[in-house]
Amino acid sequence: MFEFDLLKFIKVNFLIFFKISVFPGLGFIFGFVIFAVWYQRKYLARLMLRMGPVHCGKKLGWLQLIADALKLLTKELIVPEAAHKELFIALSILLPVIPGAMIGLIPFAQDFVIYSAQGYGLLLFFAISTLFPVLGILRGWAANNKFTVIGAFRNIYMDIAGEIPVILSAAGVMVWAGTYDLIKIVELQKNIWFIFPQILGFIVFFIGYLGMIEKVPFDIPTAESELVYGPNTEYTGAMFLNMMLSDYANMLAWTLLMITLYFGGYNGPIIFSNLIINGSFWMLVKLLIAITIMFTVLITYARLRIDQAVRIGWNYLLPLALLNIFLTIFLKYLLLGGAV
Amino acid sequence: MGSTPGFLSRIFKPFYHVARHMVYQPVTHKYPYERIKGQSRTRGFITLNMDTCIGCGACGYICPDQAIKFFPVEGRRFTYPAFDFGKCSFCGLCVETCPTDSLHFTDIVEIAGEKYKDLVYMPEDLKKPDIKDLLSELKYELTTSISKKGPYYIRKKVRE
Repeated sequence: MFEFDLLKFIKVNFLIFFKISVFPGLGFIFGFVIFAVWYQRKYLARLMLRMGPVHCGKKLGWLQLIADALKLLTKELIVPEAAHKELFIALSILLPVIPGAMIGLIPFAQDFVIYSAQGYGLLLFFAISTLFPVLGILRGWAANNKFTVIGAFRNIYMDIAGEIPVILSAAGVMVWAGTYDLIKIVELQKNIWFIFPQILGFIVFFIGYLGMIEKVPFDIPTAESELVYGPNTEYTGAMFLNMMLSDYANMLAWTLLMITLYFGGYNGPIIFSNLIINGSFWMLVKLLIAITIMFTVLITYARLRIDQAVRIGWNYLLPLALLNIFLTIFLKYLLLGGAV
Repeated sequence: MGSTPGFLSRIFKPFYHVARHMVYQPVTHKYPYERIKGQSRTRGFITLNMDTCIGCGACGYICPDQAIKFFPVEGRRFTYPAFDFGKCSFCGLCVETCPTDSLHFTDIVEIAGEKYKDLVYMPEDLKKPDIKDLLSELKYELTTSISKKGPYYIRKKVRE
């Protein structure tokens, strides 16, 4: 007779269980989203000469986001009468899964990654990321509302204009490192971060990345003042919470990829003797610095028009990304003889 | 005439202006706990000095909102103005027109009440209220000032 011992099962699979449910899996994503929204509010308020949330929690309004989440969870779920009901509800559950799967491919230490994809991590990351706009346009269509449909179409314009240059600039890193494996890419950055030989690629990646995560100056799909909240307009309560979760998890996934490709990933001076803790620590430090820079860019510039943003993507970023690939090949094979 | 800024300047100069805000104090404040002390010209709650008032009725005559009515006060010779702050638009004509300078503006704007009746002040109630009684949570009163590093507040402790 088959006997299932839960404790023994957990004991054997503890590390996998920990990785998926706590760090860098579910718990980390939830924790990051709560922190990032709070940090964004506080930091942007500081730069706008405001205070941000102050009342919930004794210091710095740290309980505000938990209070907001509780408020959203207790609200009524409203599905519009003309909406495609099954799809409308299903998408709010499916969307946060995609960034979660993308984060599962990012290494936090040499052996600390949920799924290493047999050395094709970067390729799989981009393959999964292309699902996000597909579900994005579906959520706009399913809600059957002019704002959501316009938002969804803008989402597609923005994603295509942003994603192709991002993938091509990441191809520069692939050529430079000679591998798709994210762990090997990080290991090759022990001496010098790839931002220095790939500076042109990084600039293209960073601008495209702002488009991918739909932040100002490229927050055209969600354009709050014109489109209410873009494709998410009709979502309420817990479904809206899921949408916000998916947006911020998407931001987390792309930021982690940027750190992995250009800023040495988990490499850093050894502070903790445990390499997993050390790698994760440096990853989190770099993540904090990266989102701070991203939020500074967000507050500094105004939103572009859709045609301006698409023109930047196709007219400037795409040729620069291609130029970056040719420069990388030239530098690597003709000057350095194939060795990095 | 300034020349058009260059490409790099247009990209990087905004960062300078944003980064400058890091050294400035926030211009907003925690209202029920902190309160900006009004300027001397603030048009808030109106006080009446009954010792100098001669009950001439000029304030009631000029009031465009009919917010002022006159009532006798026990032990005094004249009728004195009572204010209905629900009608008052704080235009200041009564203060300006008073021949004996008995009406004055204060910087108190926290006179909202739960009932309409709370907004009607009889002549003997038109004294400057203590801000500590109005705002039970108030800890600091702020006065504004400007330095080269931008505007900032001087905090004065009201209560422990």
